[in-house]
Amino acid sequence: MVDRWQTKRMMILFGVISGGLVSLAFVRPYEKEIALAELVLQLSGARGAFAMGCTLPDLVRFMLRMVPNMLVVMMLGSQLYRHFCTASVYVFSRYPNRLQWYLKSLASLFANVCFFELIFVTSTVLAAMPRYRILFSKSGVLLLGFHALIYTAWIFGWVLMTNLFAIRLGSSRSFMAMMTAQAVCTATLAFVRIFERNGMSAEFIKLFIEINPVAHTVLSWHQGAPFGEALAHSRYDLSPLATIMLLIILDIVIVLAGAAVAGRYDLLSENRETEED
Amino acid sequence: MSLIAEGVTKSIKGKIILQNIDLNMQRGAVYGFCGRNGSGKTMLFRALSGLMRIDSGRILWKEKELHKDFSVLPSLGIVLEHAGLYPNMTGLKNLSYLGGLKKIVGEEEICEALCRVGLDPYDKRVYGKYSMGMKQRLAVAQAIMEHPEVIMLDEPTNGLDEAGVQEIRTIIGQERERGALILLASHSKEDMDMLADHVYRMSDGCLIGEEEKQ
Repeated sequence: MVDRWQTKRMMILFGVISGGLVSLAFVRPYEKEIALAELVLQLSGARGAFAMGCTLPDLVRFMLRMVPNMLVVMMLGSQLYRHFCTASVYVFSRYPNRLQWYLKSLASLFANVCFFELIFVTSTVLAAMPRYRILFSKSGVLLLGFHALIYTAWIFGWVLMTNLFAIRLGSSRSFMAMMTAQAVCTATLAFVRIFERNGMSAEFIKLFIEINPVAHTVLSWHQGAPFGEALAHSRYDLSPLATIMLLIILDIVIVLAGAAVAGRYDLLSENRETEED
Repeated sequence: MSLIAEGVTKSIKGKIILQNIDLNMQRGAVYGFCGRNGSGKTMLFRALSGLMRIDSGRILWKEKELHKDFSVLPSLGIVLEHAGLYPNMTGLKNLSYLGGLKKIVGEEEICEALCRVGLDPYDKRVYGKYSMGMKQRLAVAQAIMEHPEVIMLDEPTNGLDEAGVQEIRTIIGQERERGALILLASHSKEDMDMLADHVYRMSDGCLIGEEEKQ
């Protein structure tokens, strides 16, 4: 957070490596060419042109695809926590406006997450280029932007959550708790298959999916303007606008909770890297 | 100019950690605080600095009240045990970042502070690679670099070799001569004997004894 260039270097390195690996592992068209929109959909679980399902293999593949995001959450979350720990004594003894400091730190964090996501998607596309002919289209570019937006909001929220829980649990335990929460959210999607087999109503299944935040990161489950044909094979008709709004609202709630913590003198003085005497 | 505590009391999760603390401390003197681990020395420093709110009582600096007229002491240098700096930055970068928050010192003063504690300002190693003694020296450097009026040092000689201990003692003496009010928490009886003008004994969050030295 403080040493900007070091964090940027780390984001570039990790974005290039993880973007390249994800592209090699998950981007596979049926022909020698791939539409940009299809490539983007494959980054969040789709296989070929088909939307991701809720079978166990699909969910496991999806969780593997999320590993780079989890690692970024771990890196930036522990960095932000150390920033809070140092601030609790050496920054706040000089800079009493805790809220302003917190908002500045978040702005820097948000910029780093955006930067990572930009490097990640660029690397994925570049790594696919030598292997396949990529068919660019306006809706494909829009979908790429949509992907970058929701994953930026997603990573940003989890980094903040990891940091907030670290104040109580310590950074390693907090990260484990966050990863467990994500895994549980993903695993509960397996119930969708059971519901479908038992003939539950489509409305109920859609509601079950809508209330699961992980489901909103699966692009091929969305449908609607302005993506048109790019999302023609949507499985659950989630609204892109509703997903953006949901993630923004969740992020705002977490930011506000963090602001309350930053303003609470006792919480920050009890951090896990500072023993009391 | 004095730092005054009147009936300072604080409890966390139902446990009283500071109980009815009264103090009157003047600039140009060293006030020593000794007591076993958990006696409340660090918490007292947190409370007096403004880094922690108190439940009752009040703290006055230059006749103005902490948390009413200002939220932390306006001219403060503090070292707290276990509070780390940024592990991926060099000592100079760490101090430059902290110095940049108030903007009252430049690189020259920061380098001078590093030299005073026996660190090389241009050492390329990052804080995370420092030995415990070097970390301690860097913490002291950040506390003195802005020439604050109040300096709170919690176990400043922990982890230092004999030469390092002597250097920190010399710095404390120089800062007292400059007119700083110094609060020193230490387990070392030698530190108290050599440096402190007044010694307070703490136990279970209470001041249980006071000794004024000649």
